[in-house]
Formats: sequence, structure tokens, C-alpha cells
Amino acid sequence: MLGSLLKVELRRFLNRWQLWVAMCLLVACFIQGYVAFRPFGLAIDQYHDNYFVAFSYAQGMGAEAILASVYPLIISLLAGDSLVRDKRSGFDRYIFTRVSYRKYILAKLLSSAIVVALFVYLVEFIMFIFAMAVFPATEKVLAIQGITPVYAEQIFLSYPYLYIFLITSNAVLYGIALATLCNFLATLTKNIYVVLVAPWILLFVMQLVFYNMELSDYAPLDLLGLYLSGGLIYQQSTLEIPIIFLTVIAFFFLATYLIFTWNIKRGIGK
Amino acid sequence: MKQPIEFHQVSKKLGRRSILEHINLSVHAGEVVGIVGTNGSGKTTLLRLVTGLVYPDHGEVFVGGNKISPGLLGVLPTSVGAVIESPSFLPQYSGLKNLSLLADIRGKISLDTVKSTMKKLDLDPSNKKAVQTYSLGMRQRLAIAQAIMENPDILLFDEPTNGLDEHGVHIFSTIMQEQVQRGSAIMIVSHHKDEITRYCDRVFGLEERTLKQKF
Repeated sequence: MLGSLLKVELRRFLNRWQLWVAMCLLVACFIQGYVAFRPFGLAIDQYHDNYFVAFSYAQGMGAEAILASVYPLIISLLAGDSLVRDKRSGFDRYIFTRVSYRKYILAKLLSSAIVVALFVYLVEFIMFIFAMAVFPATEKVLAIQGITPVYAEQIFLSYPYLYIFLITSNAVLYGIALATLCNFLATLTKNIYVVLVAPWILLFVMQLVFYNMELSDYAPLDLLGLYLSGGLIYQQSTLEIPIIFLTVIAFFFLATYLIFTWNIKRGIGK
Repeated sequence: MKQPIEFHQVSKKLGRRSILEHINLSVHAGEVVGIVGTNGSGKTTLLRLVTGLVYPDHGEVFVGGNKISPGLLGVLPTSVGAVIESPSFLPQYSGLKNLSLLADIRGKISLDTVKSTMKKLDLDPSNKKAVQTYSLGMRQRLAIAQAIMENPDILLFDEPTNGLDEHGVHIFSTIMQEQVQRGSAIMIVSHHKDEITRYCDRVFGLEERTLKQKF
């Protein structure tokens, strides 16, 4: 029954206007990043302006790319509100006469993760193809200080396509962590706006806190894209970034499950 | 032999206020039991105890022979259809979409069955308007459709004719007869005694936190 509930949840996610708005926003962020990197038509040098570098810039490596600032809102809009809407509308009461609450919360967490993964991989793949159409190809990827990524540099130089998959996967994990955080907040409140916007605000606040604590290399917004250009103090290893995100995902996944089931065992409502 | 619904010395507090005390009740298959009482007397709490949305502080509630305990929500051994409190649907979806999402969870019934259930309640399955545009009566009918569409063994109705017009009340009466013939155990709570006596085999009044049989 978890499978059928998962299908129901996925259908809900894919069948709403928020999906299209999130897609437009993500595409717009990439196009903004590409234009900030090199205005279209001015990208001519295969070593400085190739599509691998352009994609990395738009992903957040570039100081003028806005994706890191908008990405949390995109993910919240896409996959953050399903649980809170059920709670708020009372629809969950009908669901609980049909399926166990454990399967329900598992389906919520898994379906939001799957939707984020599918969405981010698909849209970023399309935007990479777009970059291939607009920016020059290159015979050989070179390391150019201040231009090319520093994170996992050896992979970038030797296997650039794999590198694109790697940094997209990091973005996927980041998105799943955000979606899980939204679900966690939904166990604490029925306010849709808190669930959708609080993660975004929280990331900005934590960004400031981390910078003040001289932990800028782990500041949350920097971990979305700026980490690609190398930290101010310390450069994360290749696996460090996905491990950080997986740890955050595991924490909020478990916290959501435990708080949700604890609330159920206390009794729902009055 | 265990009845579909059994209450044994059930007491329940909400906050510090005692709502129910020493409730003993059983509902047999094919029987309709009505509970009347004033607003805030604990009628809805009785239904919530059956579904597992809340748990007794003392005593035991058995559903389908299994004791309701924390954690049993959604894993009741028998199927339960419920209309408790106000109708609660996803407001941005149509009535059919809401019901088909619920039906797909267990996959027991087809889309055609969902549609025919809606038609039985005089709801148009092809109506694409969102539930948030529905009148109270339409939402109540949708809630009843949601409760009966999978032919559950137990039906729980909280003020089922709330918002229904005369035609809607007639439809509900027909549905009640069908469900009784199917052998469902049905509990109805209402503060309208006349409404209850129309449908019920036995009627209890919830007075001073205990049940007193009326007839």
C-alpha cells in the first residue's frame, strides 16, 4: 500500500500549477546566470567560455548568479507544502481511515524527495543542453584560475560531463534537504506560509551566522553554488558536500517521522 | 463473538474537562445506533474514538475485535467510512479528484465506482469546479460519498444531514437503508433527535457524560 500511496502523492505533486512556476523560476535563474557569465553572442573562447564553465557559473559558482538565493523558494514551492495542506484542510483524516499513519508520513517524505530529484535533474539537464547550444564547445577542458571550478577539479578536468552530473546531484541533495525541512516544519505548524518561507529566511539568517563565526565555507547558501569556486579558507573535498547534505536529510527525515508519529500517538486534534 | 464496535467502560478527558465517563456500548453488524446530545456533550469524541483519532483515558474501545490503542490509526482491522466534523477536502481540486485520490490509496474500487457513488449523492462527476466553490450541502454529500464509496464495514456519521436540502436528506435515507442491508454497523450522532429517530434501531442520549438509552 505504500507503493499506491506514493503514486497518489506523486500524482498530486505533478498535477499542480506550482510545478510550472518552479520550472519557470529555475529556468529563469539559469538564463540569468548564463547572461551574467557572458552575454549571448560574446562567448567565443573555448577555454574561458565553454558550456561546462557556463553551467557551473549559473549553478552558483559565479558571484552574479542568483540561483543560490532563489533555489530554496523554488524547492519549497515545488515540494514543501503537501503535508501542511493535508493538515490544514483536514484531508488527512480521510486518509487515516484508509492507510496507516506511518506509511502516510513515509510516503510524504519519499514522494517530496523523488519529485525534487526528478525535477532538478530534468530541468538542469535541459539547461545544460541549452548551454551547449549557446556556448562554445571545447577540445580540452583547462584549469584557469578564477574562471574554472576548483571543487573536484580533477573530475572537472578529466571527466567534465561527469562533473556536471556531480554538481547537479549536489543540487538535488540540497533540494531534498530543503523539502524535508519543509515537511519537518509542517509537523509543528499548520501555517502554509511559515512552512514555505521559513526555510528560505532561515538559510539567509544561518548564512550571516556562519560568516560571523568564520565558517563561511559551510554557510548554507554558499553550499549551493559558491563552493564550486573554492572556499575562502578551506576547500571541501568531493564527497564532503554530498555527505553534509545526506546528513541533513537524514536528520530532518528522522525528526519529521518521530514528531509526526508522536503527535499521532498523543491523539489528533482536540 | 466480537461486535464491530464495542465500548467497555470508556472515559475520556479533553484537557482537564471530563467528556465521557463509563461508556458502555456495542453496535452490531446491520444495526444503526444513534447518539443525541447537546453541543459539546462529547458525541463527536465517541466517533473519533472509533477511528483512532483519539484514545480513551480509561476503558477500551474495540473495532473489528481489535483494541484501539495509540498507533493503531489507519491500521484498523476492518474498513471504516467516516464523516466526522466538517467536510474536509483539498479545496483546489474537484470533487471527483478528491475522491479518486482517496480511492487510489487502497485501489479497491475503480474510477467508475467513484463516479457512480457521486451520482448516487446527486453530484456531477464531470464538474471540474474546485471543492472550495462548493456549497455546504455539496461538500456534505461529497463527504458522505467518500465514506460509503468503498463499502466499509463500519460507518460513522457526525451530523450527516447538516447542510442537506430535502432531496439530500431523502438520498441519505436511501443510502442508510442500502448500507444496513449490506450489514454495515452504523453510528450516527446528532443534536437533532427527530433526525436520529428516523434512521436508528437504538438511540442513546449523551447526558452528563454518560449514555442513557432513549429507545
